[in-house]
Amino acid sequence: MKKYLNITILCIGVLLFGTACDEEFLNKTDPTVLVSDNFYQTEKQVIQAVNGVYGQLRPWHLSQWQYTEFISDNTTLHFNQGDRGSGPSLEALEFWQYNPSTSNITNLYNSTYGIMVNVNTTLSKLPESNATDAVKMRSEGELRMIRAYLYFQLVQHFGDVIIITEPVSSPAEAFEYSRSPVETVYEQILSDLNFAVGALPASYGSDDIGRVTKGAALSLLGKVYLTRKNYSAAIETLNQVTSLGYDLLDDYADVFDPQNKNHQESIWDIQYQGDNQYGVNSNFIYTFAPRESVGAVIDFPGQDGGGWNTPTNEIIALYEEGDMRKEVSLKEGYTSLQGEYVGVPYINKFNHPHTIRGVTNDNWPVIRYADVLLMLAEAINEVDGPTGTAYGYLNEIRDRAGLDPINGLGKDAFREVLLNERRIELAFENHRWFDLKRTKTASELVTMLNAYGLRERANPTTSREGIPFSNNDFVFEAFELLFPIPQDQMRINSSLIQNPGY
Amino acid sequence: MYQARNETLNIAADQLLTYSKILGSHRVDGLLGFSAQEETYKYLQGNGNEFPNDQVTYLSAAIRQTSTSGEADWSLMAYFARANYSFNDRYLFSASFRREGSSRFGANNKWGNFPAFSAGWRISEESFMPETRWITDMKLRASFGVTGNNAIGNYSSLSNMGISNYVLGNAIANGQILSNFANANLGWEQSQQTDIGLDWAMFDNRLILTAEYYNRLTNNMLLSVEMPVISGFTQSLDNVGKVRNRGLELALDYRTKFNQVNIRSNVNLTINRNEVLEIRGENDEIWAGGFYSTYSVSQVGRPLAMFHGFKMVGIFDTDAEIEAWPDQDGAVPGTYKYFDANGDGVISYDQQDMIEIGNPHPDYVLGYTLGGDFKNFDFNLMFTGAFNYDVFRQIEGSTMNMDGVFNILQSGVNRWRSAENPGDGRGATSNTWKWQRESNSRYVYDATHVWLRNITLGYTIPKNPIVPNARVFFSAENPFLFTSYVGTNPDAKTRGGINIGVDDESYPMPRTFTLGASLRF
Repeated sequence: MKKYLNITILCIGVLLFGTACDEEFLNKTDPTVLVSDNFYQTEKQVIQAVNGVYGQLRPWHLSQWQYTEFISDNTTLHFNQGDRGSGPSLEALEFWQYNPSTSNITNLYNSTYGIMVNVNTTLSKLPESNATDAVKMRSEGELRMIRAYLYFQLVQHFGDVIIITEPVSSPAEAFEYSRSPVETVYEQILSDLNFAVGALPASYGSDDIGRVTKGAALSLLGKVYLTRKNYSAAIETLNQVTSLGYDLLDDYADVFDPQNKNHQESIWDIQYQGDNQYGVNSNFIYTFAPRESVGAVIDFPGQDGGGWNTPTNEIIALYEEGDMRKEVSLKEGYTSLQGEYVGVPYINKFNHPHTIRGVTNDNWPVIRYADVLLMLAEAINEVDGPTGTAYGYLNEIRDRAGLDPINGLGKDAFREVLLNERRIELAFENHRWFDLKRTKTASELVTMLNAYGLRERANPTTSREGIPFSNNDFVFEAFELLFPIPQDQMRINSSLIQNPGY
Repeated sequence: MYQARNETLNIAADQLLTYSKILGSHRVDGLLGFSAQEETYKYLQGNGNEFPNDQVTYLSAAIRQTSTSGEADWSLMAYFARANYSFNDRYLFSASFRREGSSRFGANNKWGNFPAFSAGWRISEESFMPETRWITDMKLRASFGVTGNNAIGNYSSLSNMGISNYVLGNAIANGQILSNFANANLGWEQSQQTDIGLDWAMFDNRLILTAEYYNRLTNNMLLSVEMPVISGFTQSLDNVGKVRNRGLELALDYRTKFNQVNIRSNVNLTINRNEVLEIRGENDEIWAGGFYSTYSVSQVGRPLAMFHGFKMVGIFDTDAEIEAWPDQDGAVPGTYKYFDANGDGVISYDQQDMIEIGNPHPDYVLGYTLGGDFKNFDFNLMFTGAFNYDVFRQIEGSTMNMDGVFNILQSGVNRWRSAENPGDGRGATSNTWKWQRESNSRYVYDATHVWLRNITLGYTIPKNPIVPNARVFFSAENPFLFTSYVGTNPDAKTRGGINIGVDDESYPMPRTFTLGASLRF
């Protein structure tokens, strides 16, 4: 009798759980969060996914100064004898001591691909979503523009890089990718940018200001052509930007004023917001201000800066007499609250009043119209020499700065003048390293940077407090024009090939 | 003030069908079953800070209030069968099979199969065995079984969305990004274990020897492993690798009596050997930890989680010494001298010159208990010991840092100060960012130890009409530690998984003395 009873219960069990609800019973998803499998479906979700990518560009841009200004002859550091904790990560970049284990190079590489996965995932889900065609088109344009921008950064920093344009579905799949030649990376960039130029609107309604536009895509495309030395294509592309309604602001200071965001000169700004605790703020001045400024630079009691990205003696000396940009871009020192002058320079472009400590309101200019004009002048000079048009663009920039026009130079001299003008006009806006790599040969740069290094060693911008330089500090070798592929990536994937020299 | 309501609902349904039959000397029994289990945990929590008075003690009275709620759930389902057969209680066989599904795994791999077999032979029952005091009972046994592990968090195979907001039109715009990698293939970690054992009781169970050899192969280990970051993430939980643990467990239990003194003693010895047989590919390695702590490296052919770092061979006393050594850029007198492991003339500031510098696995582990009683007195001692293994003393990276931002170990007074005053071979980390804090052999210590874990002395009060059962006792926990290890706890396994044996200076083991009485009426 007992046996029959057991069989009955077993059968009920199989009926209850064993058949229909078998798989259902074992499917559990976290009810407290959104699950990605069910996301990217509605139009709202698509837009949120695109916004999420922009959201990642926000923290990403907080550290880009390290790889483009700090590493160059524009800035150095406010030496800190008491804490060399950032030595391996940051000093290594400043002194060209980086290697495959340098954590901040790993951070650059990892965070860039960390944005890429969201670009690629959203792009792959876009066609099946039920967003309107207009939103799909715009979103695809935005995502591919950002992807092009990221690959352009990667290819300039690392040379050959892995191109990934789709999400991987298993860890094993990620091991199958290898680095593509620089040419192929640029093909990918051009394909994305050409699409974006066609897909993006020239402007947005007030709710969407801050998204990338056709003008941003054209400007970036022009920069890519310029970098590839395809000067005629650069001219043709950048000329289109000049008819989109952008203009230089009259006052250089207004360009960076957070009270005046997304103005006529802005082509693409990374958007930050301060004066609230939503965590979408910038904090550049907190990184850039002198270390022991104790409230004298940042107006909060006792507030010090990080002492990073300190303008070098050289760039300070480069400003011409009467250049109105100097006071906006940097300060050569500050007066302490005790009334003493302290001669530690700092970047002032992103230093504006704000109400909450650590939470600033400054946007980051990625591309602005002055950059476009200078790029146009550069491309024209390479094709036709310094024509009247080329001088016109250069002198438009100089005129705003309160400087006399320049005329009557040869092609090579004009190129040098332009490079210097870019150095001053776009100072500390993360252009210098790429400008040098674009306009100089490797051997020219080795000579130039080592000479700069010797001068910094002999007469450092900030005091070393008696601590000597290491032998290899400020010694630049040609292979260091490309960053190493991070050691972690090399180690787990033996098929990856490291850049020469590392 | 904090208030919470938690609710756990665990529903389990088990159905069993059993069968058993005895036919003369043969005994057979079997079992068929099905089991389903589901757990749902829900919580609602509230926090209140700054109460205007002490009279009203409810959250609603607080000036600042926060609240949170959540839910987590998992489910399991299993079909299983088992059959046992024995003949004359002399030959014993058992076979079982279990098929189990877990909600924690990826859609493609929720189910695992777990068979097991065992056989036993009670040799002492055989007629050819002589009747002797040497053999009270003797049994030889062998088994093979597969077991599964799903001890990972709920939802580990799934990818969730995380917040990444932006500013559009000068207003906050909600943005969503992937927060982790979805691995639909994530499945059971499986261990195949073979055991061969002998249980031998002698002299009327006064001496019992148990010996067991085991060989456990763990496949598809559930590890958070590195993956190419082009996937968007640097790590993902995945099934990787194969590790073998094999060893011998010996236990000897002895009881005897001298006049009125009863003595009980038990010694057990475990010798375990651990070897990584396979990771994803032949040359694959798993690196956990970091440059400024230690790397725990798992390589094929070596035990899991071996310490890797620079081999520290001394301290540079002079600039001349630095000149004479392979190029260690940035070294100054007082920094560590590292071994140029790859022999290229340069100690590079990365992992190239790092080698194996320590092994966190003990050669053997020993346990010993000695107990006894005499008349109304009783005593008990318990020792544990582990021999020949290393601990990486991570904590010294900061407790020997002389930058003036940390508290320093007292032994810091013996640090290197100058060529004339070199101290005891430990560097003072100051004014240079290199060649001191990197993973290196200077921080590796042998942690061999024997620990007297417990002493208990007791006295049982003779039976009396007031308190029929009464005992008073004194006991000491962890009274003595015999070791050359400088930290407080050589047994501190402060990190788990594949990053073991790293001492971040956990709380020391407390030494507890107890005086007690137990009374039963």
